[in-house]
This record gives sequence, structure tokens and C-alpha cells, in this order.
Amino acid sequence: MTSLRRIARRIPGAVRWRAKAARRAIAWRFRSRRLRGRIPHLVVHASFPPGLVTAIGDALVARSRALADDGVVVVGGGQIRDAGRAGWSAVADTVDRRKFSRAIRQVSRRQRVKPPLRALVLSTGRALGSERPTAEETRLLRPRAVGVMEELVNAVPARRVTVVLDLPSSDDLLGMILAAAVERGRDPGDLATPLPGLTAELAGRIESIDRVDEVVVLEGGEATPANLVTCLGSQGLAIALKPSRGATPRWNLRSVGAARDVSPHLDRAERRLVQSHLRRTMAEPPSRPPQTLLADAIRPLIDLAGTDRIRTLHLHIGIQKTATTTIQGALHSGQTALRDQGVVYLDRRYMMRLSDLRAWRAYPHSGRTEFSAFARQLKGAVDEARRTAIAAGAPGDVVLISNETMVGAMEKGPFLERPFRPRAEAAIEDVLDILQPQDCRLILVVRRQDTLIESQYMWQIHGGQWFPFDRVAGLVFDHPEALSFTDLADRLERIPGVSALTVSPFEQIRFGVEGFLHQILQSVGATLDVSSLSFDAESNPSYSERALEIALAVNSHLDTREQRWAVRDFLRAAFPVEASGRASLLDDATRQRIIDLFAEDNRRLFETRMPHLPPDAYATTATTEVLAAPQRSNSPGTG
Amino acid sequence: MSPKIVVHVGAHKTGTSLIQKYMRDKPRQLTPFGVRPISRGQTNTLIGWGEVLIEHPALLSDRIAEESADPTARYVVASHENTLGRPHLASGDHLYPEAATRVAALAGILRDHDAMVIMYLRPQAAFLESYYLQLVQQGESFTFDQWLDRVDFDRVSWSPVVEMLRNAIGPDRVAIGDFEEIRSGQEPFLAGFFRRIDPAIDLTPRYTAKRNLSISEKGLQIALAANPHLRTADEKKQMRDFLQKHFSNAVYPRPILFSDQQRALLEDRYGAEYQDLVAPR
Repeated sequence: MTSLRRIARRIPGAVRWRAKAARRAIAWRFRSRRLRGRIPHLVVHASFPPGLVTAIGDALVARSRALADDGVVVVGGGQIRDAGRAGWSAVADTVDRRKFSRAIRQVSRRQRVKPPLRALVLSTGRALGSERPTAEETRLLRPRAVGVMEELVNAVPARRVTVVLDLPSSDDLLGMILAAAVERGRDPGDLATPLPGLTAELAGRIESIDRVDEVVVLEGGEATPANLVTCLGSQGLAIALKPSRGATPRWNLRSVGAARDVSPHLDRAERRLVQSHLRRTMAEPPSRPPQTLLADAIRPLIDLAGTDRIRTLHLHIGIQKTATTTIQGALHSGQTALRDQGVVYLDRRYMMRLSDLRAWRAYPHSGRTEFSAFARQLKGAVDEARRTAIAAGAPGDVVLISNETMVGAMEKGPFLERPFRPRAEAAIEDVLDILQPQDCRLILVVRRQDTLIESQYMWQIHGGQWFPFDRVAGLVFDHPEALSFTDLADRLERIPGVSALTVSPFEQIRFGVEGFLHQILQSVGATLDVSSLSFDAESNPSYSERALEIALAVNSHLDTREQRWAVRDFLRAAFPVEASGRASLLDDATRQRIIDLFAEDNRRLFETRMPHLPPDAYATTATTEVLAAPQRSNSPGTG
Repeated sequence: MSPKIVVHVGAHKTGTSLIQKYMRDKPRQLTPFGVRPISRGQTNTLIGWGEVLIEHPALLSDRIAEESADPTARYVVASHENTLGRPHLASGDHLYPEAATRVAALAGILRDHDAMVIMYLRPQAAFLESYYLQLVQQGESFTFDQWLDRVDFDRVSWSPVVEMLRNAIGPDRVAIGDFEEIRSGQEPFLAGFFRRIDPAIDLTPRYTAKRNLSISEKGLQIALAANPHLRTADEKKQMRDFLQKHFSNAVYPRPILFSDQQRALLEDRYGAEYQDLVAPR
């Protein structure tokens, strides 16, 4: 009696022994006879990682009455944890056979199975070993699985043993290993490519266990309560997975990225707290899986043939002040020709008209509108363009978007943001999260820093600012990293999901728009005949010396955007460059100082990103002129 | 008799939330003195970022008239830290470059009333540090050093905006407070605010709720690392609440942002001017 009471306390929800204890003990013993001796069929449902099998186990337990009517006893979810406490040490993975078997049987009895008993299902996430995944598992999956499984099946005598293995795809496996590393506060670093046939090898090892008669492998999330029931031969029983309430959401690319960046500042206890918060906060879709962090060389390409995902997304990302308006005008004009070559072009104007654009992290104070609405709108615009292309007979799986805001909108004011275009990664990651292309390639146009800051400054004055140029020019010498193209290129190339970066110098446009456009389109695999296109080659006219002088005096008095635009248009018309000359900002000596400041950085840029061009192209104004001449080789460098 | 109209215009980061939330949470402590606050929620509509004063001055005027009509009202108090516009540190000649038109509009609204404007100040170094931490808590991810690029130390004087207020509203109708008074505790600070309105308001506030805890050094490190990954306003708010709960300066050490040299530079430059501005007149 005493021992029965003790056992009952171990069983969740078990009836407490009070006045009617004796009568109940008799009934209990009566039922227990049905499970004495060997179980006809033991089905061990095991998974890696444990999470899914727990959910399936819980779902089966929730329908245990219906299964019991069919002669099936299910032990899973929370019950297995209690059974584990009774005899199975998850740490040592050793089974006290007697205790464990008894605990399992006691749980089974409660389900009041009607004879004849056909099967006992043991649904446990720990049957392959309970240790966290490690990088070595890309070579050998669950190295201790045989020992653990052997102990388990020996603890429950059965005439026939089936093991159902729910295993991840290679891609998911990398995601798990990576997330586990992040949870331990480690940078995932480089992982080895998963060996082919890892799951089959594990199945073979399990099958080699004497007492195991058969192994069923369900790979990449195939396991559901329904197909497990089918494995048991219990047809027509609908079992749904319960939505998990309050459970920590799965890692995604964004939460893993944040956890990785935060980890160095935290101790172990703080890390758990912060990671849990990040996973909950960043659970909202759209998102990509954490394994996207890994380079494509490591990460196996998922075969997405037959799906409607974009195969290659080409992003021409500017930067600003590198003739982007001219390029976009040409691409817009030539979009039919591009479509005929299999490239769907989405014009910047479509994107910038989206009503919730300001949710995009390209903007300094993003998040003021709904990101989900922005995501819907952008996806909708791209899908619409693709549908139009498909209706016209084009494949529609290669998409080109030209938008310099992809590197982040420039913030107005007399300062240089550091690092160079600080929102570039976030802006592009948002676009990739939304569009989920199989592959993304970036096209970056660079410009020598002295003319770049002049042009950026004029843009600010056009926009209504009135600070003197010297304020910005002085900052260049204090913080040259604010204009480092090598740093920007390296950061762009590290964006998860980006497979290639093509860099071209803006100065080549002086050779002609056609050649410049050809350089840009080469990596897309398309060409355009500029002579057949209609677009404005000089889209953003500059200020003259006098126009600048007047703008600096007037702008501080302008309050609204309309006023600023009106003044800008007036100054351009009344004081054109042709009449009083282009505004000159840098004297020759300061210009050369700036050129010298970036000489080494630019040399590295040309050597690594544009090896077909002279490495000293940005060393002097004279060497830059060489870029405007036709090059012997037109093949752009790819990083 | 018409009540006295009081507009508390900031500055940002000088205990405005504390004053607003005290008036919201403890109206019974104010009722005996005839203090009728206009809620911070309402001033958002009536004042906004100051542009409402210019475009729709009648909104605030009508609301003041409505409160004034109550015979028990002796003081109508509107506290709104955005009255002078945004503190633009990157451009403009002083801390509140949008203030001129807003102050003029406010002066027009208050012209026919027994009115006063209260503005609290704090020393430049503390103001800049606090303002930066607020930006980070709102989701920004630049370091203090990077943010300082936007701040011209020559243009962070409080004098222009104080002068602007005194010229437009009238020197006797502008009271300047020193946020440093908070060092003696938040209840004495609150009492000081109401004594500035009228020494006859001999209030002994009972208010211990902690307002606007700031983040610690560790909280700042976490925010700077995590913020670039945050996407929505809700995510940013959740992160702010999380950091204030678990990594506030009540639990961990405060962040040290300015170097001693930078702090000394600001003190040399603005210390005397500051003391002059906050000295009783």
C-alpha cells in the first residue's frame, strides 16, 4: 500500500490516496495485469533535436483515450520526464532498468487500455542522447545514440521494437549547431559542411542494436502525430499538435545575430536572460533560419526547384551620388529588354512609394510604421513585377532592384556617420528577410572620397541645410573610417545570404553611360542598348557658385519641404552652372590631402575588388582620369 | 479672479516626466492649492512638437479657457517638454533651433493671461549624456563618441533659448529652474517646482514612484549590440523595458561617457553662464 501511494505521487495528476485507498489499489492492480509480461510492440519515437518529439508526444498523450481504445498506450511529453526521474539519468544516460520499466508501466496503466494491447509508444526527445549539438555532429550525428537507445529498449521488454527517428535536414542541422554555439556564448565560426548521408548512417547504427527490429526515418520535419499514428496502424485518428503557449520561440537569423553580438558583454546567467528576451522579442516574421549566417560554401544549398522563390536577386545599392538616378532611368526605360533577357527589374520609384516604407531599417528612425505592412507591400510589388514577366513568357526568377537607399538613407547634418553607411547591413537584411531569395548578389558603385563629400554636401544644401562645407571636410581627417570603401565592402559581403559583391568605380561614367551601364549589368548577365533607350542622363543638376552662396543665406529661413523645393528649383533655373560655373568647394591642396588620406584604403579596394583596373586609380586626379578611358578588360572584379 | 496660467516647457531630460506623472498620479495633493493640470496626453494634441502652437493656437487657448472657467482653479499648469521643438544638436545655432517661432506663438497665446513659463536646465555635460542615453534607449546604436560628432560644443549654450523666452514672454514671467535640485530627492524637487509657480503653494509632495530609470554601463553595451537588429517600435520598446528592468543604473554601475577632459572643457566654457542663468532673479 505504501509503495503504491508513493508511486501514485510520482504520476502527474494521479488520484491521491485517501479514504478509498484500499478499493482503488485493488482496481489498480487489476488493470496492471493487462500490461504484465512482454509488450507486443514497443515504438520508440525519438528525435533530434528533442523539441518536436516532445510536442508530438504531448499531442498523442492528449488523445491517449482514443489510442487506448485502439490498443495503444502512449507515454510521452511530461510523463516521460517523470518516468525519467524514476530511473533514467539523462546526464549519465544510464537506465535503472527495474525502476524505469516500473515507472513506464505505471504511467501506461492510467490510460486504461482495452485488451488486446497492441503497442506501447515511447515518445522521448532524449533517446538519442540529451547533450547539446556540437560542431562535430556535421561528421557524426548523435555519437552516443546507440548506447542510450540500447539502454532504453532493454528497459522495456517487448516482442517487437520499432524506432521512429525524426531527424533534421542537413540545413536545419547546421542551424541547430549554430544556435547551440550561440547559446553557449560562442561565435559559431566556421563549421564543416555536413557529410552526406548522416541520417542514414545514424539509422544504420540504431538498426544494428540487437533488440531493434526496424527503423523508420522521418527527415526534415516530416514527423507529425498523424504519420506516427499511421506507423502504428491506427488509421482515421486525427491528432493535432497543440500550439505551444509561452514556449521560447525558435531562433531565427536576427535573434541569433543579436545574441552573438551581445554575448561578449555578458556572463552565463545574464546571457540566458538576454537570449531568452531576444528570442521572444524577435520572433515576428518575416525571418530567415539561423544557418543563413553561414557561408554558402558551408551551408548546403536547398533545392528549391519548383517553388516560387526568387532564384537570384541582384541589388544595385548605389551608393548615393554615383549616378544612380541615371542608371535607374536607363534600367526603367530598358525594362522590357531586360525582361526579354530573363531579368525582372523593379524600379526604385515603386519601392519608394510604398506607404509603410519608413518601417524599413534603411532609415535613421525606422520602426514608426508597421514592418509587416512594409514587408507585405514590398513582396507584393516584386511578386506583381514577376507575375507580369511570367505572363509575358519570361521565367521571372531573376530580379534586379536598383535603389541606393539599400545602403541606408543618408542622414542630414554637418557630420559623417560612422561607420560608412551604418544602416547598410540592416537595410539589406530586411529586404532579404522579406523576399527570401535563394541567392543575392550586390552591385556597389564607389566614388573617390574628395568628390564624394563635395557631392554629398551639395545634396544636403539642395535639401535645405545651410552649414559650411568646412565643418564636414574637417571631420574627414578626424574620422577617415567614415568613408572607407574597403570596410563597407567587407561588411556588405558578410551579410548573411549575400553570395557576391561586384564593385565598379563611378568615374567610368565619364567614358559614357553605355559602358558604365554595361559594367553594372555584366554581373546580372544582361545588356542594354543605350541608344534605343529614352532617359535623362543628367538627372540631378548641380548648384552653381552663386546658387550655393544664395542657398546658404536663405535655407535657414525655410520651414517646409515645399519651400525648400521651390527655392532649389528657382536657384537651379536662375543661376545655372553654365552661367556662373559649378560651385567649387575644395582647393587643390586639400583635395590632394584627402586623396592621400585614403590612398592605401583605395589601393586595397582596387586590388581586391577590381583587379582588372589600375590599383592606383584613386591615387591622384590624373590617375582617376584613366578610369574614364576604355579598359583593356571589362570584366568586373567580384569579391 | 482668473487663474495663473503656467506652461512648463522643458528642457528635455530635466525631470519633466516626474512632474507630469506626479500631477497625473496625485491630483488630490494638488487640489487644495487650486492647481489644475492639463494632462501630458492632452498637451500632445494641444502643443505637439510646438508646431501646433503656430498652426492651431486656438487649441491651447480654448483648453486654457475651459480650465480657467472653473471657479476653484487658481493655477492651470501645462507641462510639455516638446514645446520648444526638438533639440537638434547637429545643426542650428543653439540647443533648440526651432524655438523662435514656437516661443513667439506661445507668447501670443499667453499675452492676455496672468501667465508664466517655467524651464528647467541642467549642466551641458549631464544634459548631453542623458540625451544620448535616451536616444540609445529609443533604439539608436551609435556610440557616444560617434554621436558627439554631431554635437558642436560651441553651440550647446542655454542662453539663446532663455533669452528668447525672456524677450518674448517677459523677463518677470519666465522662471528658470536648476535640475541639479533633484540631488536632494524627487519630493523636494517637486515641491521646488510648485514653489516656483507661487511660493504660496506650500506643498509637501508624497511621491516615491521611480520614474525613468536609466540604463547602466552594461545595459548600454547590450543596447548598442542588440539595437541594430531591432526592427519595430514594439521591439525597441520591449528592449527598453527589459534593460530598465534588469540592467538599470539602480543595479549596475552608471555609464561613464565623457572623459574628464571633455567634462572640464564644457564646465570651463559654460559653468559660469549656467550658474548665472539658474540663479534666483
